Amino acid sequence: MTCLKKGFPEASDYFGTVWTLLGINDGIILEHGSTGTLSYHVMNFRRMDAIDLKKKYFSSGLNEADLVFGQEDKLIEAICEIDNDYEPKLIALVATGISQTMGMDLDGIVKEGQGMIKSPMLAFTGGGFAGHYRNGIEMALCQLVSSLVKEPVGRQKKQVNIIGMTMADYNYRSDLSEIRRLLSLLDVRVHAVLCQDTDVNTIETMAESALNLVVHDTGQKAARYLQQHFDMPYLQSSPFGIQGTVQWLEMVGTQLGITVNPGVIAREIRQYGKILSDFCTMLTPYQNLHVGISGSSVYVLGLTRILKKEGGMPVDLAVVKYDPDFSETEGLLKAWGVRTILQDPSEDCLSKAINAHRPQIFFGDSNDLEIAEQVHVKIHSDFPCYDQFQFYDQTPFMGFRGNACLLQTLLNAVSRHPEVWGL
Amino acid sequence: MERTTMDKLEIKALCLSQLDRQTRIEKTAMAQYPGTACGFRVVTNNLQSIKNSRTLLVGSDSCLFNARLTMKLCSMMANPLTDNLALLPVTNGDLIFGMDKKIRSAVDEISAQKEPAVLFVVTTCIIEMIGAELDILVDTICQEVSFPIVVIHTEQFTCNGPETGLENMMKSLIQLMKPQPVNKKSINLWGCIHNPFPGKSEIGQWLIGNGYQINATFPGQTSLAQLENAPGASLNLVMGSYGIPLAQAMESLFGIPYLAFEMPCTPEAIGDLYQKIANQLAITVDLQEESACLKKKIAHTKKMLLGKTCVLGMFHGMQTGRIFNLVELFAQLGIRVKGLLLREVLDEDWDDLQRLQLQGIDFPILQADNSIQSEAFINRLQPDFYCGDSAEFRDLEIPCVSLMPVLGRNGFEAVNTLLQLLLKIPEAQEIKGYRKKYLEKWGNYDLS
Repeated sequence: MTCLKKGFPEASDYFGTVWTLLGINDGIILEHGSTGTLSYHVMNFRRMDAIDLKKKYFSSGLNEADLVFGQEDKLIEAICEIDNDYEPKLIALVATGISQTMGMDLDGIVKEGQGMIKSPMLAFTGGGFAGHYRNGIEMALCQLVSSLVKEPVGRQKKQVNIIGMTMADYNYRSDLSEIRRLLSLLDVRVHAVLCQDTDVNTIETMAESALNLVVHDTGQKAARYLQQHFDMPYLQSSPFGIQGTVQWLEMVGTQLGITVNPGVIAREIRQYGKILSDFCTMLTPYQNLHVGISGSSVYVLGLTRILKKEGGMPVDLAVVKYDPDFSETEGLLKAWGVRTILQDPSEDCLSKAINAHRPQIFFGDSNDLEIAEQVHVKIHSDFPCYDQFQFYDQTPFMGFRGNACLLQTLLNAVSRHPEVWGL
Repeated sequence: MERTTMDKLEIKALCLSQLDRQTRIEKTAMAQYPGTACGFRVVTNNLQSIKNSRTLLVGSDSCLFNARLTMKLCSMMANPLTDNLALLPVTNGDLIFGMDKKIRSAVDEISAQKEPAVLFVVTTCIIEMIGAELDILVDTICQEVSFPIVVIHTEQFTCNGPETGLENMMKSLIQLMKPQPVNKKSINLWGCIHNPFPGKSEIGQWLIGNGYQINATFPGQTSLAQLENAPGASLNLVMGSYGIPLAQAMESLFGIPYLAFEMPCTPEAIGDLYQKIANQLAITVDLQEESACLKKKIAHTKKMLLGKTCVLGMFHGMQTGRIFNLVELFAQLGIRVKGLLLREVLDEDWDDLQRLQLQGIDFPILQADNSIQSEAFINRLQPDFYCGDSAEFRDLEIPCVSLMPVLGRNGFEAVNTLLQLLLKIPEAQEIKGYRKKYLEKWGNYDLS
């Protein structure tokens, strides 16, 4: 079996932790490691998604002398400096491969250092040896809710939290924006988003919301924790497609005891409810174009719903990544008629599958799209997405607008590749 | 030592007049942002320019993920780098049971795919920390394959920057070199970073114009054959201190003399450099025309910039070039340097520095290790513009002149480029201040 990675190595829990924590505006990450890693992140994160790490992310600058003479004093000094200079609401002490290899006890540092500073401090100790980045997100979210969420003073009937939306989810800004808009149609307010553009106080008070909405599977464990400890119900589902979005709104409404106004939905469908057949002509039979989709289970299911179930396009190949409930996902995709379903394939395996199916359109992350070199129409739909910016927040694939945006993206991409009609 | 509070940050600056060989420029903070780039990154990027080579990176996923991502981003630039990386992630089990088997199997796999001209095995901190004996292992594997394998150690945690990794990379090239008959008209160019074609730089072209042939170059586009033939040169020209260990090793092993220098900035210093090279080669040099032309341009630029003030930073995150000679150039331009951001004083800086001290020129110098402190320092000094590595100073309201375009150039050409940059102060600066002030004033406005 191959031990080399041709494309991207699997990002570890360390990345998941960091990508999660960057969603807390008034928190600061202090990474215990050498500065090279942060220096790399600063360049790459900015290019990927205009993420500015300044005053949000620091390195302890671990060096050889620290390993010989001890690292604790230096680390505590760095913690005190951050506490004093920036007064964050949370200091997240993040382990790296080096500190974990050296057996550095970050939990002990938190206990020792907490008394010296005003900011609360949490240690995230995976350090890159605790699995996939999705595990890192899951663990970080669990740690945040179990450490920060307080007993609620009361419950806000029309207030929900969103759990499992981080910068490691493709198109997160736009999807989040659309989810907020959809909820506003029910007159429901979004309180905390774990973890995107939130703050410590909002996380602390998230048990005041009536419902937790889990939009990516990484949020499930944190939602379960909140259910067990604060008696908060949760709904794990994401709105894709016209019918899918209506069903999602109805489920949310049912959970909150709100009746969905059919007139509002009709207005939305009139405005954003295009379906593929609206654009099909004799010259452009879009429904005959074959599609392959690669990504997280939420996105693969969501896009398959729009393109196949609601659009009638043949989705021949589905590649599901990092899915803890793969058999369930596989069952759904099979029921929708997807011919080949792969779970976490190697790059060679993915390449072979694409060559075997020869779809005209392929959705995936930047690396997948590079592997799909034979495919004519390539559309980004997964993370990492290093060759396309995503900072504008009105290009969702979720919700009613997401339905319209996805179809528009697809049709425009096909228009640039008229050769697909001859294939 | 001057200590000032600026935006709650203690800025620990040192004055030029206080600098002597015993003084170190103090760290500005324990919590570092962004910190210095690591050798791993710089080495990885540079190795891509060796034709038909492969680079096996052995390290944690964070290093490897970032390395691949950087390479992907670099593939979208002008002069895109070839991605010749093979990634070997270290797992928990590897830390306990070692990586020998994995590395051996990775080399087999690379060999089976398409034999590279040369394979570089690049380590990261984690490999260095566990003390994996890669050199011994690779020596053994080398007997079994038909291509050379070279280990490059790039441990960031033993130093405060990429220099050690770069030195190791340069020095490792000697393993590829083979004794050659010396061609007296042949010269190697080492250390011309940020220029994929060092032979096309001004110094390279000047040498060619004087009947010399550029033999091996690195960093820059090269091949295994060129590196193997490097001992056939009569002189090693080393443009940057990290190339010195290689030059020293070549001197000791092949008897090739070397001349090392950092890039000068004033017309006089550039003339001196050319004269030094000419003396070494026993040729005559006549660059009066170029020197006069540059002086004329300096005089013209001075008319536009006289009385301006600036804070000067480094050319790049890594210390390169004669920064105090750049201060002298600015003095010739009538620009007052109000402050300097610097990582360290290089050996070659002392003459320039002492000349400035004798002239009574003085200004605060801040360790350039943290951009937050650096930005506060620049804001406090309120110069007309900042000139240097500006990637991290995007919030500055004053114009920033990036020195990146100067890197990779040398001689008079480098200074001509700099003068062009200085005359073309970037536009659209006021929007930064407008945005910042607007958000400060209205950012917390009660929307209800």
